[in-house]
Amino acid sequence: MKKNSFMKRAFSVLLVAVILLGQSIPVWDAHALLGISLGGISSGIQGTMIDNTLSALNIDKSSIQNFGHSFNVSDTKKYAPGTTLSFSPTDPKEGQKITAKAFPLYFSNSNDKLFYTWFLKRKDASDSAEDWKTEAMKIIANDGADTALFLPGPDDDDGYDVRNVFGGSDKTNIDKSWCYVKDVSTGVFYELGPTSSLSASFACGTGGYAAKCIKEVMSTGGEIASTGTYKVNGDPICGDSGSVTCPDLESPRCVNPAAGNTFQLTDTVQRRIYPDAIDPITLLATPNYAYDPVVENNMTCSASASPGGDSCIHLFPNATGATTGDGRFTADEERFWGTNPADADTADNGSKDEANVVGLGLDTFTWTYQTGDLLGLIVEGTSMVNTQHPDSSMMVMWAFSGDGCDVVNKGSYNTTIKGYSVNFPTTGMGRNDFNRCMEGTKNGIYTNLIDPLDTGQANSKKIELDVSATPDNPTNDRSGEKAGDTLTAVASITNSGKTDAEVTYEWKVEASNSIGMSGARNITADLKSKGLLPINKGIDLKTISIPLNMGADVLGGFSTADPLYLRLTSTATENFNSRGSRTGKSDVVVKVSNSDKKILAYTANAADTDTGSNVFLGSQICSTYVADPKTAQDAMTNLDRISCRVMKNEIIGLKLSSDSGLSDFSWKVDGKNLPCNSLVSSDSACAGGTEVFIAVTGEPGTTIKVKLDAVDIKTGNVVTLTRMFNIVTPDIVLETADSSSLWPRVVGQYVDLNGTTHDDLSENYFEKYPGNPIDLRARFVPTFAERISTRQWVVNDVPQSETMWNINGTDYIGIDYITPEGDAVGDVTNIALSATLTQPVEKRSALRNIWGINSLQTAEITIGKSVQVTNVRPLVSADSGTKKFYAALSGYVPPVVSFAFRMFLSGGLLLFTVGFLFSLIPETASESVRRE
Amino acid sequence: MNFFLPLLSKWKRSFQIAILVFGTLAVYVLFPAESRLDVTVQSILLSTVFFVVLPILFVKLILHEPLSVLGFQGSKHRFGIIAVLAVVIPIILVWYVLLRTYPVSESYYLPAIIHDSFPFFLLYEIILIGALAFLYEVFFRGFVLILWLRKAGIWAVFFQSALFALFLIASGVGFSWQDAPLILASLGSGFVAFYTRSVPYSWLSAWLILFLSDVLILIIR
Repeated sequence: MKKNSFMKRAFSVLLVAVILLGQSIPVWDAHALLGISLGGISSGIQGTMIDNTLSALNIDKSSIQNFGHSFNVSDTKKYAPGTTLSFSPTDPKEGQKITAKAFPLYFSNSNDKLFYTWFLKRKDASDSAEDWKTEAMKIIANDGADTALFLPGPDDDDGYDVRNVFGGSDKTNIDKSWCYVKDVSTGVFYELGPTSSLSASFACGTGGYAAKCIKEVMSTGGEIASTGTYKVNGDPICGDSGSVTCPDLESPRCVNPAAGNTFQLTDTVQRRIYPDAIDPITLLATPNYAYDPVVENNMTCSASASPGGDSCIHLFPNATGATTGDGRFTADEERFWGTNPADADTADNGSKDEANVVGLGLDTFTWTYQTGDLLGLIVEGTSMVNTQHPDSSMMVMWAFSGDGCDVVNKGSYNTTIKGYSVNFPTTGMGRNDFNRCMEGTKNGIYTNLIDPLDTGQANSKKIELDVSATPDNPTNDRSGEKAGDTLTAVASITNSGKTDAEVTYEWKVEASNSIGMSGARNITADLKSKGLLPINKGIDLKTISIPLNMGADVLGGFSTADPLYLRLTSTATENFNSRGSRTGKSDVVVKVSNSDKKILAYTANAADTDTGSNVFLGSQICSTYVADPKTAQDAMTNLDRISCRVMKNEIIGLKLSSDSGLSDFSWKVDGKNLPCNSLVSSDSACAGGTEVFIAVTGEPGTTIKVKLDAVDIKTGNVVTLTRMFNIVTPDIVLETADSSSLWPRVVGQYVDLNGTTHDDLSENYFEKYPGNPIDLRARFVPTFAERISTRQWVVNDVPQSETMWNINGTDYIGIDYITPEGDAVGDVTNIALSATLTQPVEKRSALRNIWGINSLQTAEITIGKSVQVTNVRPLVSADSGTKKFYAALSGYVPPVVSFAFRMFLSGGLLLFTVGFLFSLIPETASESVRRE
Repeated sequence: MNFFLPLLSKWKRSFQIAILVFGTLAVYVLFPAESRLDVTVQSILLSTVFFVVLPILFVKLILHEPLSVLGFQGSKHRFGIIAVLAVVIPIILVWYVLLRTYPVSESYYLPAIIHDSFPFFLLYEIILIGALAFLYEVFFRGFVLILWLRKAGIWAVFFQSALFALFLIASGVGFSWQDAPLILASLGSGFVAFYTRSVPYSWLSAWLILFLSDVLILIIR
C-alpha cells in the first residue's frame, strides 16, 4: 500500500515537472523524456493523453495547475531580511540608561558580521536622517569617554576598510556585489543600478519595425527556411558584442507590431514574412510586414554598459569631508566622532573606532533616554536570496527597523546569461533615497523609527491575572459570634512588567445565592464599613482576607442563602509614566456554607463495656472567644474556633449544634465516611447521626477536615458544614500573670496591615525589677491537655509548689515565686515547667478497641517549657507613667526601709485616729479622778 | 445621741482600747507583704511595732499612764513561780496527750538545723521563740488582758486566748498543729498574767510551754 502511494507520488511529481518544463522545451524533448515517441501527434491528442494519465493516477488536474501557479510566482514570495528591536527597560524614565537590541532575520551572515547603522532622533533634533545616524553612532563610538582627557598621538591604526565589502564583514572575496531592495507590495527584488538606457537598440530600419524573436509553430527546426506559420515570441537580447540573439529555436526578425503576432513566411527567396491570412492581392499591394534583417541588413544592436556591483552602496554616516569605511580614520574623523586618537578601540568593545562607526556587529545600542527619543536601525547584510547573475552572489540587502522603504526610480535591463536573456528589474535608489525613507512619516508618525515606550508593557496585551481563594469550602458565621472562616484571596500576575510595589489592585466582592451570580449584590462597601475588609484598593494589595462573619447588614437579602456564593474580582493596574496604564481583571467564585448551625467539638470520655469500649461527649473545646485579644495566645484561642488545635491520639467528639430542620446527615472526615454506631457510642445522638467521634491519628502539622452534609427539610437543598482540626504537638506556653511585676522581653516590633506598630514579645525571656515576684501562668496547647497532665514547677533547680491564678474569671495554673533577699539587677532566674500527659486507661482502651490504635502509641508523653527571667534596672522617665515611676523609685529604696516606712505610717495613723476620735468624747468625772 | 454619748463617755477607755486592739490586729493581718523581704523578718518587724511599740505609745501618749498598766511590773516571786509551774505542767501534759493522740509531730515544722545542732537549738529556742513569746505576751496578755479585759474576770483569759487563736488562723492559712502550742501557751500565760498582772511571768510561762513543746516533739520524733 505504501509502496503504491510512493510510486503514485513520484510519478505525479515527474509528470508535473514535465508539464512545467513544457513551456520552454520542445515537445519532442518531453516525449523523449517520457520515453515515448509521439511523432506528429497533435497537441489535442497530447492533452487527451495527459488527461487520461492524470485520471488513471487519480490526480486532480486543477491541483497541478494550482501548484504551477504558485511556482510561477514563487520568486515574489522570497523572504527579504528584516529586523525587530526590543528595549530594556520597556518603560524607561528620563535619564535612565536604555538598551535596544536588534534581532536581524533572513541574513546569511551571522549577526556579528552585519553592519548596524543606528538612528537616534532626539525630541528637538533636525529632520535629517544623517544627523540621527551621527547622533547614534557618536554615542557608540565614544561610549561615554571624556573627550577632554584625550591626548593627541600617532596614528592609532583604527581605520576599517569596507569600500569593496558589501553585505557584511565576511564578504571580502566577492568580485562583484549586487545590492537589492525588495518592493514589499509586489514582492519584486530590485537591483541597485542604472534605470535608463539599459534597453538595447536594434537596427530594424525605418517603418516602425521592432526587433522580435519569432518562432515557427510546430516546427521541428530553428531556421526559417520554408513556408510556415510563425509567431512573435518575445524580445531579442542584445549581447555584449552587439549581436542580436534569441532563445533557442527562435529567430530575431524586424516585425511590424501593428500587423499582429502571427505571420506566414511565403517568400522563401527574400524570406519576407507577411501577416497571417492576408489575401494574395493585398499581399502584393502592401509593403513587407516583416523582413529578414539577418539576410538583408545583418541586424545589429547596441546597449549601454552592463550594470554591476559598482551600484552597491553603504549607508554609513560620514564625518564632514570624510567617508566612513574607507580604511582611514583621520584625526578630523576622530574629533568628529569623539573617539580617542590614541586608542584604536575607544569603546572597548573589541572593534576599531571606524568599525564602530560602521556598526560592525553592533546589535545592541545603549544610550541615556530622553523623553521623545525615537530609534531606527538599518542593517546591511547578505540575504538568503540568490541573485540571477552567473556567479556565487547572493543579494546584498538592508533590513529596516520599521516599515522599510518603497522602491522608487524603477527600471530594468536585460542581459544574456548562459545563452538566455534575463531581465533584471532595477532601481536607481541612492543614499538620499534611503535617508528620505528613514525620515518618512505616515499620519505624522515615523514609519521607520520606533518609540521605546511603544514597545513597553503599556502597549502590549493586557495583564494576565489569576485569582485564587482559600479555603475551598469556607463557612460564614452569620450569628455574630465571629467564628467564621477567614477567606483569603490572592491575585497573581503572570506577565507583569512591574514590581509588586508598582501594581495597584482593586477588589470587588459580590454575593449571590447562585453560582451564576445572578442578581449579585456588591458587598464591598459593606465589608469595609463593618471592618471585615480594611481596604479594597491599594498598591501591592494582591491579597485580601475576609473574616466570614457576615450578617444581614452585609449580605442583605442573601444573609440566609445557603450555600452562599461570593465572587471576588481583582483588577490590577500597572501604571507607566506618560503612557497610561495596563490593566487586567479576573475573579473567582467561592461557595460558602452559610448555615447558622455549627459543628461543636468536645473532648471524649470512654468507658469499658462488655463488648469493648464506648465513648461519650466530654466538655466542649475550642469554643472560647476572647473579645479583645491582646496576646498571640489570645488570638490563637480565637482561631481555635475556626481550626481547633488537637493532639495526636486524642478522641474528639463532634456534635451538630442543632439538628432542627435537617435530615439525612452524612459525616465525612477528610473525604471518608464517618459513621457512628452503638459500637462507638451508646449516645442516642450518635445513632441519630448528629454526633460522631474521631480519633486523631495524623501527625503534627496535618489538618483534619470534618464535613457534614445534611438535607434542609424545607428547601431540599444540601447544607454543608465543615470544621477543621489542626494536629499540633502538645506544648506549654508560660505567660505573666501580673504584667506590672513581670513582663515579656520586647525583641522587636512589627507593623500590621493597618499600619499600627506592635511590640514583638518574647515567649522565652521575661524581665522584672529586682524584688518583684515571678508570677507566671501556664497555658497548655491544646488547652484540654492540662486536664490529663501532672506537673512539676522548678525554679533554679528547686521544685516549687503550684499556684492557681484567676484572671478575668478564668482559672490558670501557675507559680507565684517570691524572689529571695538580695535579688539584684542582672540576676537571672530560670523557671521550668514539665508536664506528663497521660490518657486515662479507658480512653486508651477505646482507642485500641474502636480505632485499632496500639496502646503503645497512646502511652504518656512528657512536655516542658522553660523561661528565663532577668532583673533589669528600673527606668525612670517622664513618659513612663505614674505607676512605673513609683515602681522605679521604689526599686531604689531598700526593702526594709520601705517596709518600715509603711509599717510606722500605718501604726501612727491608727494611733492618731484612736486618740483624735476619743479626744472629742468627754470623760466622766470618775474617769478624770481615776486618771489623776 | 443622748443615749450613746453618756455610754461612750462612761466606757470611753474600754472602747478606745477595743478599737485599737481590733484595728491593730486587722492592720497586721491585712498588711501587704514586701516581696523583697524575708517573711520571718517581716513578721518580727510587724509584731514589734504593732504588738509592742504601739501599745506602749498608746499608754504613754494617749492614756498618759505608766507602763505598769501593761503588765511591765514584777510580782511576788514565790507566787509568780508557783503560778508559772501551775500552768506549765498541766499544759505540757495536755500537749503530750495531743502528741500521742494525733499525728502532730508529722506536720509540725521545726528547722532542720536544730535537729542536728544543740547550740542552734538553744539559740532558736531562747532568742527566736523567746522574742516571739515576748511580743505576743505584751499585746495579748499585757494590752488585751491586763489593760483591757481584766475587769471582766476569769473569762477574760479565755477571751484573749480565743482572740489569739483567731488571729493565728487569720494570719496563716487556717489552723495547723503548728499553732497548737501557741494557743495552749496563750491560755496558760493568760492565767499567769491574770493572777500576777505581770507580763514577765506570763512570758516565762509561755516560753517554757513553747520550749517544752518543741522538746517533746524532738523527743517523740
